[in-house]
Amino acid sequence: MEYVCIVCPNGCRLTVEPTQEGVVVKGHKCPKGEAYGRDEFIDPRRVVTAAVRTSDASYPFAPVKSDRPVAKKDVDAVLRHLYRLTVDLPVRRGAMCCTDCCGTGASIVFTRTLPPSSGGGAP
Amino acid sequence: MIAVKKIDSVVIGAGAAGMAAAEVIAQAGCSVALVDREEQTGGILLQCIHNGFGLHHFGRELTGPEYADEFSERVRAFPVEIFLETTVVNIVPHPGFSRVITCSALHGVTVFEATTIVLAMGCRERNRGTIGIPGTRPSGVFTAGLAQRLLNIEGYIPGRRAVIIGSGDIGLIMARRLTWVGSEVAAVVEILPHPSGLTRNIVQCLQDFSIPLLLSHAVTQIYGKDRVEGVEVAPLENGVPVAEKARIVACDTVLLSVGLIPENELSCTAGVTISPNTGGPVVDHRLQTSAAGIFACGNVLHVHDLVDFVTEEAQRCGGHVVDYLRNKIPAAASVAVEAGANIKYVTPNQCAAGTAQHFYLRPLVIREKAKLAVMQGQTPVFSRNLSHVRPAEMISIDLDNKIMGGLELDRPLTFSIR
Repeated sequence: MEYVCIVCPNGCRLTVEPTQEGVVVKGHKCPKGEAYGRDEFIDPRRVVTAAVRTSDASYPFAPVKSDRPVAKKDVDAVLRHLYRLTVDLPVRRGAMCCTDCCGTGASIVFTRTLPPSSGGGAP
Repeated sequence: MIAVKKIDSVVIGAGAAGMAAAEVIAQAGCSVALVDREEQTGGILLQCIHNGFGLHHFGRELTGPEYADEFSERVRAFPVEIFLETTVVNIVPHPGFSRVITCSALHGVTVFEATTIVLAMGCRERNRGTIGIPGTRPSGVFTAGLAQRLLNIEGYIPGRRAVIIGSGDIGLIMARRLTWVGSEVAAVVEILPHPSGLTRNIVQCLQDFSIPLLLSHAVTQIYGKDRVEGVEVAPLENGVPVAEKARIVACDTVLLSVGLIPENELSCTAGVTISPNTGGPVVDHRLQTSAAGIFACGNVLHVHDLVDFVTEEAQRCGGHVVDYLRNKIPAAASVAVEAGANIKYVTPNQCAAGTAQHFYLRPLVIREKAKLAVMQGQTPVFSRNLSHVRPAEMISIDLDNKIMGGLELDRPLTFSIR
């Protein structure tokens, strides 16, 4: 498999192949690149960011993120779960929105502090 | 009765730049007002809900709202007077101070008599008008940043099948965001032979979803009566679209990610000189504009690649404002700064012999292994080997007191890439 390393702006072109001695990465200029290539091949992960619906008209959506990278194959399930949620304000940056989301081991946390409801209902 | 407030400094714009500058000024014990037309501090960071911010400044990856919140809390910890939903309508310079005229539904008209002003209004997006795409004028054509606001703040999905024009970072981020809310991105069309955005965004926002990136292609027509129905895409040969090879891509939405322009309408009311190279004010070594006591930092000065550098520059700017307020006599700006070969611009536009100086420059070329050379006429002043150079990435360099002390007066300092 071929990847472009994204660890730094050098953007090394990596070739990753499984061999009998394990996964072999070529084309990297540093150890971080080698680790990136191996991870991308064996277990690619991404931090998920999204906005969840609130019950408040002044701030109809609250931004969230996964507190650690989620396996790429699980990203869709996590997103679908988040789109079904409605949260009440206030929310605090760093506070938990959803623990161990969809069994991925990652929790979803709010990334912005939003004030208490102004009394307006959801639109 | 119009309220008149005497104050040491007015900071215009409460985004990344304005908040960092205001914090430094307040920390030094000077009185400062932070003015923004939005309902909250944070600026454009609030709509950038993806992560990747703060690696330089905080040493960890934050999302835009987290980065903004950190600074919002910091400015609130100091006696910074914050005026939200307040628009600055005019700046009138007088000897020794400027009048900043603001209006808001909350406070009515307020006039600040400010010894100093920090311009921190950020930048705005180039749009369909600035790049001139022919066709009809249906709904469904958005700048990428507007679509980002609609989706991330207001919660509206701008469309179900989009073509993104330009491969700037906001467009790439929006390609992933649209895909993640269930919309389809038919293609990203880039007029240049190389992507404009960062490699990590090409990988994580396009390749992860197999979104085609059409390099050296242009959108030559937008179709649709009430709503966008499609665009015509043509490959470029020798810089010219080839009509015979054009094809139509069906879509209901067009996003434009075709560059940013420093927002200086207000700066112009103050009579500040604008640089044709950066689109921002011409500034001296203290980030002071051509108008005494008026300073500039962040994207209003030049469009940065990373918010971390905006913060860094704004903190330096805040320090210069404090020095000015304390009547510290500055070194004379005695050396002009010029962009040489393969450099689009260098900022600031002037420096002082003998005073350590930080510079940002923006390259025009893509190179692996390049050399940055700083010369005064034929005399080499400084050089550095660079592993790579890209227009998408700024180059940041510090020249220390020793190097700056060796400069000759009144001879321009030229930066170039070989």
